[in-house]
Amino acid sequence: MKGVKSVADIITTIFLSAGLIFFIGGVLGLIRFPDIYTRLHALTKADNIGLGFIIAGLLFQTYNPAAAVKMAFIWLLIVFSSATICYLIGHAARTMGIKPWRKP
Amino acid sequence: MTAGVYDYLLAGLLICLGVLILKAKDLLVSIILFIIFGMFVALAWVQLNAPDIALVEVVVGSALTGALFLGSLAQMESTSPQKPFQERLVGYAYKIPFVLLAVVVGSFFLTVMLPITNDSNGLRDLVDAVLGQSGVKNSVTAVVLNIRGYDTLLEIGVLLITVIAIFALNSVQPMKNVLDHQKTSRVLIIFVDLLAPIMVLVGAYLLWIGAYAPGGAFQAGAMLAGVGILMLIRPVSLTLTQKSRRLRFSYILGLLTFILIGFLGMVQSRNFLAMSYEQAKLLIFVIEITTTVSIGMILMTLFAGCTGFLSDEHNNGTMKGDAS
Repeated sequence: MKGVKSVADIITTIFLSAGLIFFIGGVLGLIRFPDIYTRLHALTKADNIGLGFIIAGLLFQTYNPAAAVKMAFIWLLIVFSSATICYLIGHAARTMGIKPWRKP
Repeated sequence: MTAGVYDYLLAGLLICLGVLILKAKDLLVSIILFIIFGMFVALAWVQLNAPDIALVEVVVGSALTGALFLGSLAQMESTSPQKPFQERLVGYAYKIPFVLLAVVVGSFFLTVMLPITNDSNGLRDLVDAVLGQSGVKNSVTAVVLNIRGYDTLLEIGVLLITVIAIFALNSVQPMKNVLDHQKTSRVLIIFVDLLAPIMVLVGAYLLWIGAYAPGGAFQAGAMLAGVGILMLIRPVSLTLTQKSRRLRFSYILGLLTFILIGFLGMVQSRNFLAMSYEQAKLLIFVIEITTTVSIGMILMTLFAGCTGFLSDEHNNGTMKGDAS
């Protein structure tokens, strides 16, 4: 394969593919789920884990420990903020009166 | 650099996003697509080897402008129903000259930029020749604050004019609907209290690293504006008042310092904004700190003006004391 230089590249590819699968699942949930609460659930859970996999894959590409710590910190920040925003949107939707979808 | 598959995909994605933004029926959809568009334009800037501009694009062009749009959307009246077909046809006729103009300008750019090959360095050689005397090691910062400092001075002046416009036009009603629900939201309070100091630290890091790596005053100022927006949204927090003297002084701080340093150069060597080699590093850093504060406060006021957080009461004391 072109561009594969070491074992690290193979591991990176595996992790990036896993993250990609989770992101595709999240977007699929965003498109197909019936109401806002289920969509929020799909988005935040899938995006957190997906981003975790992508950053885990990128950790194998750098020799600089400072860069690795920075990337892990970025992931922590995104988990923190996406969880908060998910709660805020869900709370706002609830107080605006949007009812959860019930199976008809 | 040769354009690879990634570049072509990105360019095609940008064009598709642009068309989708224009054709979206709901303004909210357009605004969200615009935020996403800004993110992908930042990726394009990275591909063009301009990480400084990518940073500014993400924070200002995508996030901040998106927040301004969303706040303005919340202030607008409900949208009017679809006009009859005859009226819409006349509306299309007015758009034809602009479409022609876009086609002419676009083809001009294509014919000028297509012959540019990998070997051409643009202005990089000219800048590298004087980089050693400019006091900083990052070529973008050297150009922005030393070689073409006069342009940056005028840009800060333009930002100041926007704040004056916001003050003059400020007749929006405070946002009553969504944010009232968050009045006692402890999650939001904890979120802002944890995130704001980290963002201030990242802003200070961007400011300091601007001399050696992508970063600088505009990026740090935009990050501080983000902190300001978080503080505005936080329940039980500050309100911006127009008549606060500290607030108004923080707007002019950057421009004032720039002009004073310009006159200093004039006193020393008869040229406005001339910087000798020994002083350049210190002067650039002083300019950067003050413009960071100014840009942060101005952008925060833009957001406050668009979303109704700007009040008219005469009150000298309501001003937060964060790291700025």
